[in-house]
Amino acid sequence: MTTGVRTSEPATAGLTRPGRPAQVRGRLPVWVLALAVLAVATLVLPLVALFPRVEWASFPAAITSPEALFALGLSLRTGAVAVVCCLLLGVPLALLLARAPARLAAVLRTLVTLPLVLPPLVGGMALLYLFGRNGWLGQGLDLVGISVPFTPAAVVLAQTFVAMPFLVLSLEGSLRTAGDRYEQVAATLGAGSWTVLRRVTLPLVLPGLAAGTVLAFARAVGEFGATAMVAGNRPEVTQTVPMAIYTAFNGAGVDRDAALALAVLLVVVALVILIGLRDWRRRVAW
Amino acid sequence: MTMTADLHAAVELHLGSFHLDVDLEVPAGQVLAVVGPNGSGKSTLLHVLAGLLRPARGTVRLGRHVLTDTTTGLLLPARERRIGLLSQDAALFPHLSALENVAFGPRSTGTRPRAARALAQQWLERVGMGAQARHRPGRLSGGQQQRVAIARALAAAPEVLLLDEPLAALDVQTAPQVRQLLAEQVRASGTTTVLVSHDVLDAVVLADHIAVLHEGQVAEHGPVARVLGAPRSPFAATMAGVNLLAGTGLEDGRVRTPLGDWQVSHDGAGPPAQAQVRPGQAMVLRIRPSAVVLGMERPEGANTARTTVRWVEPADGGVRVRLVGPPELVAEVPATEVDPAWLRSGAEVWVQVDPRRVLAGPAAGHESGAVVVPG
Repeated sequence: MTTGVRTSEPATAGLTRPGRPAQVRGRLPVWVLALAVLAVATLVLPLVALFPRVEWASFPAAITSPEALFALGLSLRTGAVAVVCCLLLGVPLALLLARAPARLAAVLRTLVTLPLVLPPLVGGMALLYLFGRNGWLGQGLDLVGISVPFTPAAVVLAQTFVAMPFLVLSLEGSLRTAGDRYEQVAATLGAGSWTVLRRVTLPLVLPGLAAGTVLAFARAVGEFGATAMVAGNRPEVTQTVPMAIYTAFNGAGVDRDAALALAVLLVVVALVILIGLRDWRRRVAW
Repeated sequence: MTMTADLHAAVELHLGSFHLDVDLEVPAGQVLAVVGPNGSGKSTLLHVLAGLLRPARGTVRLGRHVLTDTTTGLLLPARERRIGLLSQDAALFPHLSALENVAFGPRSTGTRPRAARALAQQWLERVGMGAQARHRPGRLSGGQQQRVAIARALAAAPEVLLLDEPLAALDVQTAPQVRQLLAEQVRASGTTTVLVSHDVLDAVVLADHIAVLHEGQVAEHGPVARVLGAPRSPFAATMAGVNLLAGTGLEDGRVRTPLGDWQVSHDGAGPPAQAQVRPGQAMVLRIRPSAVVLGMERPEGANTARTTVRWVEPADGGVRVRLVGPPELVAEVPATEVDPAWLRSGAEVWVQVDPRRVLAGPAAGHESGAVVVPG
C-alpha cells in the first residue's frame, strides 16, 4: 500500500470510545491553572493536616465518651429540628422570593442574606436580646413560664437563624432556573395552585431543595458562634459537637485528642454527605 | 367525541404602537388557522384567548360561557378556561414519565389516579407512543415528545385547543407524520381549535378556515381552499406562492397596474359575481410565478414590463427570480430556460405574462367585519 491511502479504520481508533468522540476543549492559561491548584491546596491541606495528628488507638474511646456521645446526639437532634424549621419556613419564603416583583424580591433577598454575612456571634447576640429575659419576645414568654436562652431550644433557634439563608437562596436559584413555563402548562391542563406546587414546582426543584437542605443541615450542625451566645456551653445540656471540640481543645493534655477525634469525625461525615448528594443528584437528573 | 362549544372573541388591545382589533368566531369542532407575518398579532391573540393577556376592550366567549369581559372586568384564570395550549416546544414535565404527563390533566380535574393512567395509556396508544409510556421526556426524540404533548393536551379534554406553531421545532422528516397525527386526533376529538402557523401545509392539512392577520387586523378570511386558491392579501399570496398585483378596473376590461394596463382573464376560483372587471373597482391580479416569462429582448404582445433582478434563489427544477418592486414579482424559470445573461442581481429584464394566466378578483378589505366562519 502506498502512503496517503486512507483505510476505513480511523487512525485514532482505540483512543476514543465508539460514538463518543473526545471533545477538544479550549485550554486555560498556565497561570490560571497554577492559581486554581493553589486554591485547592488552600482548601484541602488544612483538613488533611488534621489526620496525622489523630491518636487512632484512642479514637474509638474519644468519640464514645459520654460527653462526646451526648454532644453528637444533641447536634444531630437539634440539627434535624432546625432543618425542619428551615424547610417549614424557608420553602414558602423561597417561593415568595422567586415570584415576587423585582423590587420586593431585592429587599427580601438582602434581608435573607444578612445572617449569612454577619458574624454568627452578632446573630447570637441579637437573638439573646430578642429572647432574653428583657427582650421583646423574652418578656412575653417569661409571663407564660418559658425561658428560651441556654436551653436546647435556644440551640435550635441559633441553628435555624444561621442555616435558613442557605436553604432559601439555594432553592430560590433553582426556582428561577426552572421558570414558570411548566406551571403555566399545568394551569392550562386544569391544575389548581396547590396541585401545581405539589406535582410540578416542588418536584422540578427537588435537586436544589435537597442540596439546600443538606447545606442547611451541615451549617446547623457546625454552628458555633450564635449558639455560644444564646445557648451557652453547658455540658450535657446545650453542648453541641462544635462546643465540645472547643472546650476539649482549650483543655489540657489528653482532651485535645478528643477534640481532634470529633473534628475528624465531622470532616468525614460532611464528605460522606456531599458524595451521597452528588450521586443522588446524578441519579435523579432528567 | 367531546362536545365543544363555539369560540367567539371580539377584542382590542394595545401594546406600545401595536394595535390588535379582531373579531372572530370558530364554530364548535372546527379548526381556524390564523396566519400572518411576524408582528401581525397572532401570538398576542392566542395569549388573549388563553387568558394570559388582558385585552383593553372586548369579550371572549365559549358558547354561553364568558371567559373574558372587559366591561365587568372578568378574566377567568387559565386553569378554569378549559383551553389547552400546544406550542412548538412540547414542554413535557421533565420529572414525569410520558404516561404521568398525559395523566396529569385528568388527575388535576379529579379523575382517580388509576383511571387517569388507563386513559393516558389509551391516548399514548392513539399517538403511537404506547410502548414508551414509562420513558421520561429526556429519553424521547423531539417528534416523540410532541406526540406525547398532543396526547397530553387532548387527554385534558379541553373545550378549545390553541396550537402555537406546533410543528415549527420538528425536522423535515418528522413534521409531516406529526402533522398528520395532529390533524387526525384533532378531528377525532372534535375539539374547537385555533392554529397559529407560518406553514401553508399546517393550514391546508389541519384547518377548515383561514384568517390572515395583518398589523393586528383581519386582512382576509374564508375557507382554506378559497383563501389559498384566490388570495387577495400579500401574505396569503406569499403563503400560497402566487404574485399579487394591485390595480384598478378600466372601461375596456383591462386593469391599470403599476406595471401598465394589463389584460386579464376572469377569476374562476373566486366568488362568481365578482369575476368581471368593473371600472374604478380596486382589483387584485394573481399570477403564478411559473407564468412570469423573462427575457432580454422586448417581447411582442400584451402584459409586458421592464424591471430589474433583485436576486436569484434555487427552486424545484430551476431558479426563482425575485424582481425589484414595487410591485415585487417572483418568476420561476425551469433550469432548461435559464439565461446566464440575466441570472444575476441588477440585471435589466423584460417581463411578460400571458393574459390567460392573469386571474383578476376584487381587492381584499372590501368585505369588512367579523371573520364569521359558516358552520
